[in-house]
Amino acid sequence: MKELVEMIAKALVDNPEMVHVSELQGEQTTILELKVAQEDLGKVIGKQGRTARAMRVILGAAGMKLRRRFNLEIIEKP
Amino acid sequence: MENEEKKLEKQEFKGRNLEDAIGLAEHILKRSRSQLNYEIVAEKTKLFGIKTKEIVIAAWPKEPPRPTSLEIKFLDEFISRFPLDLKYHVKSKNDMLCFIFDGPDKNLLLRKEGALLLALQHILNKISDKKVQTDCDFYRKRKERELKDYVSKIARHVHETGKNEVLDYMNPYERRIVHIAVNQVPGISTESIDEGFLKRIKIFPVKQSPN
Repeated sequence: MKELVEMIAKALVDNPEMVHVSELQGEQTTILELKVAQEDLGKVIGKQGRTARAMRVILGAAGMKLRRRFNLEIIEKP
Repeated sequence: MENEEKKLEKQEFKGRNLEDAIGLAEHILKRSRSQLNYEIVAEKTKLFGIKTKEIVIAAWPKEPPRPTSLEIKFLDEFISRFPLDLKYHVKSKNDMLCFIFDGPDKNLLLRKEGALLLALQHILNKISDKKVQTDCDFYRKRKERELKDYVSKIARHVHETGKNEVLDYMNPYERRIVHIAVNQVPGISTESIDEGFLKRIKIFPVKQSPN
């Protein structure tokens, strides 16, 4: 699922080389940490968080199929 | 195919000004100016007799949008990584690109008011420079009909009781359908209230003018 988030984020931002996703596997939940360049933060979040929500819906559907919970966290790169 | 190519040929139109020439092009090509491309070929001022201007433009119908490799590449890669079993095909609809999904997991696309379908549409719109719509199993048509039936009922109710009704929060696409459907009922009008992406619509009776 890491690759999926990475490819969506890379398509959205201006600095795809700055996109980095790490995966933290829990028992039932996987936490996906998406890091992007500071100026791209708005691109992956979107107006009123619509883009971030769309990505979470996509992960939610994937989770339904895989019977796993995916949590997307968006982190600003220092 | 030959016919298709012919339709896209440039044709020249003359007029006294740009407005004139475009009007003529609209008339002859039977397309509104939003569906036409044009360029100015010549602009001259005739000097014999009275001073008159003439402008020549070349106009041709706009091609319907075609998916570029950008959208296709993204979607193919997306589907290959996405655990759901989905297929799609592309259609051009007016000025929109329409991605129609199918496949064994299509019911997951339509869960929760088509949340996934709309999420994909949102992402595709962000990536593409064209307007993108997603659809699956005539979802749009079905929703549109449901919504129209529902609001016509409310419009009739407002007409009978003379009291305002406020609908639930809706997105711009849904609101457009509601405005069009409700305004077909005479004596009733609509108005969007609130701010932001999701707004509510107020349906109210129009006060009859005194005469």
